Amino acid sequence: MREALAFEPHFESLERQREAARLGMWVFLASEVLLFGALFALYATERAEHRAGFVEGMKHADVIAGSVNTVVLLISSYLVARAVHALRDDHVRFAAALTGGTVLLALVFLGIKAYEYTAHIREGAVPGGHGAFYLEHRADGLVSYFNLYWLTTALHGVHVLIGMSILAFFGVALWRRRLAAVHAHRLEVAALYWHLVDAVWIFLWPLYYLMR
Amino acid sequence: MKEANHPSTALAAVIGSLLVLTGLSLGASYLRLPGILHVVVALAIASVKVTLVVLFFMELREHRGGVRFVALTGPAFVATLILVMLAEVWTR
Repeated sequence: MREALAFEPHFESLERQREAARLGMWVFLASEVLLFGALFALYATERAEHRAGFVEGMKHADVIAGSVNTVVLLISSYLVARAVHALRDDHVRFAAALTGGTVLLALVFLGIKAYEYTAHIREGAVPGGHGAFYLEHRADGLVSYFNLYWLTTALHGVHVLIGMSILAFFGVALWRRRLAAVHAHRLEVAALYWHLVDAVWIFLWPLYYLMR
Repeated sequence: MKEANHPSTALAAVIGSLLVLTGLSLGASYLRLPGILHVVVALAIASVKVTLVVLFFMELREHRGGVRFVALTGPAFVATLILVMLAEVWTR
């Protein structure tokens, strides 16, 4: 009975609905890859032409903060992957705890990112290329670097915020036992989005912290 | 239906590898590798990490057909875009 209620009438079976949901999410994620891919392409060409500004810009990056955030997102991805498996096994409360852990790590990520942004703003390394910072640091391409840095990391940050909100919603629903093993594909689809957020950061970390 | 239940040890091995690769990438960034090698190493390690995330956390390993095709489309188009744009810059 529970299974019968878990899928919409226009699907033949729960498994068909799961496959449709999964494929739909992958198509959406492919469009996200193109969005971030355009920014990566811009990074590649700007860096190829103005390497000095990119190397100089990265000297103002907080490598420790960026690296900690990399570890934070990797672990958060692991936790939500575990949560999907826990829900499939009908360990609903355990799945809720794992999802909650992911949300907490997302908050840690945003906190560290906010700390980094504050430092950049204090220093004057803001988008637009105006102010004392850019009079003092004149490396060719530095303005492009910080424009791209802010645009790309802020866009990623918005994704973290959205993914975190969706997972928080799932965490609460799981904790209240409103979801069971038959609904595991819903959490799976939300988790796919979260893994994409992690995958994008895996590239942002070397691009904006390591490739000095 | 193939909702194979990964033993949690498999996922633990993947996160372990991801953390080791993160350490390697950080370490390599301080090696002052010559020229483009620096960039190649950083991006190669990142690519391996993303592949692990996609295959194991996102379970692409277990899916066939449409999902695999769609999953490859995005990265393939982005790679094409980057190559064409870089080719234009390098041949100016």
